[in-house]
Amino acid sequence: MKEFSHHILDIANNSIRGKATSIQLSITENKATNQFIFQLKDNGCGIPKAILDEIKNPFTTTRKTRKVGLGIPMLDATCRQCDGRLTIETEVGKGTIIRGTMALNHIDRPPMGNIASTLRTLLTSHENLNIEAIYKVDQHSFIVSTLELKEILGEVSLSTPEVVQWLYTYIEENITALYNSE
Amino acid sequence: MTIQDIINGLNLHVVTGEEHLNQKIETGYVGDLLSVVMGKANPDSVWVTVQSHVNIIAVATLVDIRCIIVSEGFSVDADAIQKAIEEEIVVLTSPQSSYEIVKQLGQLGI
Repeated sequence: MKEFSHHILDIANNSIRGKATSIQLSITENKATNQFIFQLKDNGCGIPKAILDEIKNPFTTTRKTRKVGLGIPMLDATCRQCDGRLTIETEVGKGTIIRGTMALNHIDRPPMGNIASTLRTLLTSHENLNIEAIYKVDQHSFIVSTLELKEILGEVSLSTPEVVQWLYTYIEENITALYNSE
Repeated sequence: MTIQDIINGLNLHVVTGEEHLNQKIETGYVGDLLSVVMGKANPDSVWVTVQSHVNIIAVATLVDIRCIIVSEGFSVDADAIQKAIEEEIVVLTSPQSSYEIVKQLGQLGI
């Protein structure tokens, strides 16, 4: 995938297809250690051992419509090509933690892409899903969560067009500010 | 044009797929970002790439590409060769750059 945000959307959609009601997502850039780290933790159905053992193989998929699944294999290949790795911890019935690393300064590390749009989509498209996203750049961080937003909005739905529009700008400005902070 | 014609014209090494070299190739695609290849390449293309892991076989299967040329002298991963055999995909290698390979494919008339 050309942009990293597409990978985030892809793995979050895996969680949603796996019946998760809670997703914690973190993206961390650390210049001091030259690390790019991302993690997604969900409370979905988990991955059975037989599938987990083969999950980085693109011919493993739970889809019925085609015989190959490339989301995880492509993300795994991208991490390895960027001097990092992808690890998956999972327990059937409890949930899954996907964690990946890459060298922050690796020339082949995909650009972030429109992460504000990705987060906005995830936060507003699923009424019964709690999502918390933490974006860290060195010592600065930005947290946005459906719980916090719902508290502020009260009776107003997160999927209200005005809210959706505002949320994009809110996320975009806060993430941009992380990169501009000293 | 058949895969055999391409092998003869470009002096390529056959990694796997000896028995499928009479298949027709209509067009070609070059690219290393698998998601883009998945979305843009045409079926029955010859695909030129520097990638050599098992994911290329999965992409070829999805797009219905029957022939992959791995460029720059990269060696093809063992699990990729195994899957290529199962999926009946021809995998060829060349020490040349993707650019040089595509240029010669063009001269052959692809």
